[in-house]
Amino acid sequence: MNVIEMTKPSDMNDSQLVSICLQGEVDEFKKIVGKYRGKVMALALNILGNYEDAEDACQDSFIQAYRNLDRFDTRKSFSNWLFSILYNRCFDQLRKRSRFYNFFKRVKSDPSFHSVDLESNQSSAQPLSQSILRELSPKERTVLFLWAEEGYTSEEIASVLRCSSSTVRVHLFKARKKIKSILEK
Amino acid sequence: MFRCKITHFFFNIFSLKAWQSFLIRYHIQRCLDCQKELASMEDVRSLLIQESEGESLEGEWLEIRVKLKEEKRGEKHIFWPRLRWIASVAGLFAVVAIGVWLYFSNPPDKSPEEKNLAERFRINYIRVENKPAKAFLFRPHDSKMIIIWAEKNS
Repeated sequence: MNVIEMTKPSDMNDSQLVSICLQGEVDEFKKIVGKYRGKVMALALNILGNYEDAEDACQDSFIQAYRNLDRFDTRKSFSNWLFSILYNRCFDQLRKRSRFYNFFKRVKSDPSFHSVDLESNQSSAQPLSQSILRELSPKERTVLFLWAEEGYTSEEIASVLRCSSSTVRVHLFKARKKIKSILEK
Repeated sequence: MFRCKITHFFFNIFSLKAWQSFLIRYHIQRCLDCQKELASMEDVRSLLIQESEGESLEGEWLEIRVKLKEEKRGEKHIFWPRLRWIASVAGLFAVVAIGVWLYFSNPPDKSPEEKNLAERFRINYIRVENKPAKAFLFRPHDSKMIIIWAEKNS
């Protein structure tokens, strides 16, 4: 009998889950979604700061991961690979959002335009922690999340961000320094 | 303290070699003044948005599953645009080929002027070097000039 068949889904490691997904139906991917959705959503929320965008980025990341599952190297960490996909999706969202805000600003400057101020409403509804996080760049927020929540080393973070570990250390250093100075104020 | 500031400056600005970076990190980890300037892991955790249950797995999975299935269906349809493109090119070729074939098998009727020309101008027999030869008549467009080309039979 196959070893994979004998193992319970909860006991399976990521490479086993991936190989089952590659063999079988779409439904097998549910186990991976179930295992990672919390972490993925938390990272997306920390980068984007908006629930709807974060949810879209998460779904897109899982779909992209499923589509490229055959390209995943099972010797490497699945979570790193998934976070890397999510990180790119979130930055796509941020680019889209900045395009929207540029358009919105242009429309708003039109004297005939009368509407509720989206930006000021968003910022006023934010809790303190969110406003502190807003002082950091999305890259710094990503580095902080992976360091503090996931306990990643700078090398692991570098593999997610696809940059050098010394760059990660500088981002982490700057972010921690910024937070400390804001907290002390 | 001044040394710490210089260390921080180098750490921020330059891309350092591995050993230089290690020395600076070693300093930052040991130096109390440097540590005071950095937020701890607990401070950072308290600010970050934590992992939460949010929507049920079933609901989220259903949405992902629908999108994956739609994508699979979309992959099948990718064949059709390609086939449509090939079919339209083949159809165009067929139309051109039929047109050319029809033109050469049933040349269009000559204009009345050309008919008159044939009636008025006729070569019954042509010889080149005392041997029967082929004759060709040319009449350029918009001209009343007639060119006669005689060619030896090979």
